Amino acid sequence: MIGLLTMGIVHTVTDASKSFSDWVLSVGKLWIPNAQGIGPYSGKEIFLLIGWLLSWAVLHLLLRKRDLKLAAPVVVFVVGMALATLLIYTPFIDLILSK
Amino acid sequence: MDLVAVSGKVLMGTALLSSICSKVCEMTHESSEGSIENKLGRADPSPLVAIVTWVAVTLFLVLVALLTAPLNLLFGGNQLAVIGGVHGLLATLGVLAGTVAAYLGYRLFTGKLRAFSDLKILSVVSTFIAAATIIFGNWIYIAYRAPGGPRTFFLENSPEIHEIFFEFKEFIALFPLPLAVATTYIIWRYGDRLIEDKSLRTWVGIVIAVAWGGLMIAYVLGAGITKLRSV
Repeated sequence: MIGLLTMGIVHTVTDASKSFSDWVLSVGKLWIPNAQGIGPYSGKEIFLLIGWLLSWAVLHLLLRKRDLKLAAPVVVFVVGMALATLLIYTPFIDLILSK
Repeated sequence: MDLVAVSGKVLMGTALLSSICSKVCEMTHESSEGSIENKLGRADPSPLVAIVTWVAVTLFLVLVALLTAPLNLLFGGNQLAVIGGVHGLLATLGVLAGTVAAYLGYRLFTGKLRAFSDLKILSVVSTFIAAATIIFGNWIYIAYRAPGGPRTFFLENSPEIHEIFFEFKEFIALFPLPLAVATTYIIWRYGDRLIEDKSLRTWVGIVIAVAWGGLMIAYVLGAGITKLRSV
């Protein structure tokens, strides 16, 4: 969820700023073959991967010894996924960017 | 194509098919000699015979099709169409595997799942299909964005198709992969204990449902957009 949310935030900011979008594309070019062909989408995939793998590692270190009740994390997950979905939906992005 | 050459290859295929079938029949005969079923006079085909026969017949039919059908006309001589075809095929397989996994996930959610081993296998299969579909999707996306491609067409004629539907589709298609990896990890890490742990199986059921939702939205939008303008 954190990786997808990261991607949604990056996507929204690229929509707001051309220079940030160019920088995201340059990040994509570092890792993905033919990134120029798919544009800033390549960089957004990289941010998804970074957010996902980093959150997995951090949460593993934080929670591995704990017996956690899952009610709250389930709610956080569902709300986070809904937010990540909205942040890739153009009419919602236009709304928050007042376009 | 030379008809004589094709006929020769088809005959070779037929001979190969025949030899495979006879070998399987021999193996089955050897393995079932002295069995209770044999003594009782039953002659049901074993799963091995059924599967090998099905595979052999399918391969034979594929061979005939490859040798005789003008596939280059179907794909229009375009390599990108082949990549797009593989992407679509993988997406379809993903929908099939994902839908069965979603049903098993629902059974797990309600605490009525008995086919846990099926869910274990399907979670892995779904994860690999999701990854492969994304890789081929990235590949075909280059053609979509290329000058004169579908993106240009939509932006000139109906920009909402690209800006709302395609943009949403390209991102929502990424949702199933991390969710599938997470559920696969939990299912394999906790194994049968998952069935007894209500809160954990509830979480897995919800994640599978969310992943399936993303998968279906991406599939339907992909099919709809391809119908309007393909690469």
